[in-house]
Amino acid sequence: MSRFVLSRLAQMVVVLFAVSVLTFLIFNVIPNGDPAARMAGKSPTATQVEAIRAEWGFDESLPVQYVRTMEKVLGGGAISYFTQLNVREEIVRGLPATLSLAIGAAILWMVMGVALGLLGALRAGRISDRLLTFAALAGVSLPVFWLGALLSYYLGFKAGWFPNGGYVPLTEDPLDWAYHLVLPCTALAVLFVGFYSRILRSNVLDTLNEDFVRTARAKGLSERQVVLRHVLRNSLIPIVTLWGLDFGAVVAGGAILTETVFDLQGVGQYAAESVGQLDVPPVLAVTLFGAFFIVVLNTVVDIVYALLDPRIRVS
Amino acid sequence: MIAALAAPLWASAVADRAPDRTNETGTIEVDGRQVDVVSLDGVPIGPQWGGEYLLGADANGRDVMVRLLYGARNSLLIGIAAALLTTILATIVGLVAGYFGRWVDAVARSTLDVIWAFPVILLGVALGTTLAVGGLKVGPLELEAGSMAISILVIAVVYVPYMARPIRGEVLALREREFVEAAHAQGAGPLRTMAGELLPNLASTIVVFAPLMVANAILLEASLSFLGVGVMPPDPSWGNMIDAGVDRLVTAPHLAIAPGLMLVLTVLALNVFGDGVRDAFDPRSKAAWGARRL
Repeated sequence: MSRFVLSRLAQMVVVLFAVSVLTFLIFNVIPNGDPAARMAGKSPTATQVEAIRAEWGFDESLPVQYVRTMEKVLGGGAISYFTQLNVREEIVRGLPATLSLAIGAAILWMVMGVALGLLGALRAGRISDRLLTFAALAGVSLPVFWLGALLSYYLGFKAGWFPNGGYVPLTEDPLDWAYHLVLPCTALAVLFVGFYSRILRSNVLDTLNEDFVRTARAKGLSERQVVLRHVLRNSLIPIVTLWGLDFGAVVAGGAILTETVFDLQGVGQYAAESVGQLDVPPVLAVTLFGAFFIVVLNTVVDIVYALLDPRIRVS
Repeated sequence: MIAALAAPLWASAVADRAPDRTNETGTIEVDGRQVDVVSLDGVPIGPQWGGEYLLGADANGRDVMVRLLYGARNSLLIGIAAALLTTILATIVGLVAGYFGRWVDAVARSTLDVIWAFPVILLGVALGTTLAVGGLKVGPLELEAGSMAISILVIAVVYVPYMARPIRGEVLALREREFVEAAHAQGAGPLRTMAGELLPNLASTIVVFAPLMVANAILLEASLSFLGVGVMPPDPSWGNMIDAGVDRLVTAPHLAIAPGLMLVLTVLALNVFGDGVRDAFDPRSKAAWGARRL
């Protein structure tokens, strides 16, 4: 087991390095023009650009530039030349809101996705299943920023049932915190509910044909027990892996649109606002930290998985 | 869907006004009275359901319907071109990696894994932001900042891993089959084997993926334009029209609702179509669902 963990960790380090190189290439090498001027923002003065060039080492060789860039971003020395704020501090400040949104939405989409997927599978072929299929396709077709804007306008602003955007820290007022998160979590979850319910439906349909299900039925278990204990449990495995991946993607910047529409002041909104100003350092930092987070999370998921299921360790 | 695809082609014929013609001070006749297109406090007129300003005006007095049609041109062009480019790139990468195996495969697979580690939207935003400032110049390829080609390239590259992985997997299985051996025995080289023997067998996978990739690409284009790194105003696209509309949701909700509905209906039509294609070609395939991530 410890050998598996070690090799998985070594693999993680390699991927982290590759991710950081790719990020560096995207920001400093692939685009045309002067990287220092790009860092400086929309309308920099010549002295500013020169100062940035010296600071980030843009007049030196590419490996040196890479090391300098990583030092600055990971070490927390990078600042936005537009707002003059420290980039890493701003990201840390936005984390609670982003995590709240991601956790709330992840629970919501898992519960709803499993419930609707199971319902569709058990009623396969009937009208209710067709309707669920169509609803799932509609769900994955809805752009989250549009859905979010309409929800926030009609249910928040017009009807007054929900707050009109914004984030309240959990430590300040737990009830208000949850109240502010209802609409954003719903809007973000819709896409995944459609997606998960479809996958679960097809998994359940496959599992229903397995021998052990026939055995369970032959044993005289009630249909309810067969479905919940045997079918559902086995159909959930691939979904749980996906859940980890999607949760990681949401935390690592996937919620950029949702946060912006609902003014949640999280990491995603910070990135979106910086993008609007073409303020490069924050976008660089969010991209790098986001990808790092996903890589680390995937490793953790793999290791936990191997702990639970010994078969994986071998292969 | 056909209507949505066809209308923009005739945009210039259907519409008698340019999409960027502003009319901030003009008036039109409604129920026999002259009404400002944009009222004095800056609120644009709502949908008229007929004739001029069918779907109302925007804050600059531009006709929303006309802009929708021209926006559809941009959105669909980018979506289809990006999906096509993704398909081509993914097929090449998948074929080469799967066919040659060994170190070629190892390099291709780890490159794809690294791209895979970035959330789609974040990678799109990162590339969009950096390329929006200076454009792109890699060897002979030179793209101007803010051009539509940049959006197409960004969206295409971001989705390559999602399609290349299943194609590679399939090639790995196919190359063990007898017909590949037979081709080799006849003296076919790698290129000939890949194009003549393997590619036709990948057709169903590619066909299943294509409509979903177009749907994904259109959605991503809208998201990037919404964030301001896709199609740049004053050129219209559904994404940047929604972006402009969201700011005025309170006074003029039609500005966000109209392009949003167009977007949803187009993407939904593509998804329903894609679902049907999948059922017809490859009902047990779940791979295509994996292409939907943030």
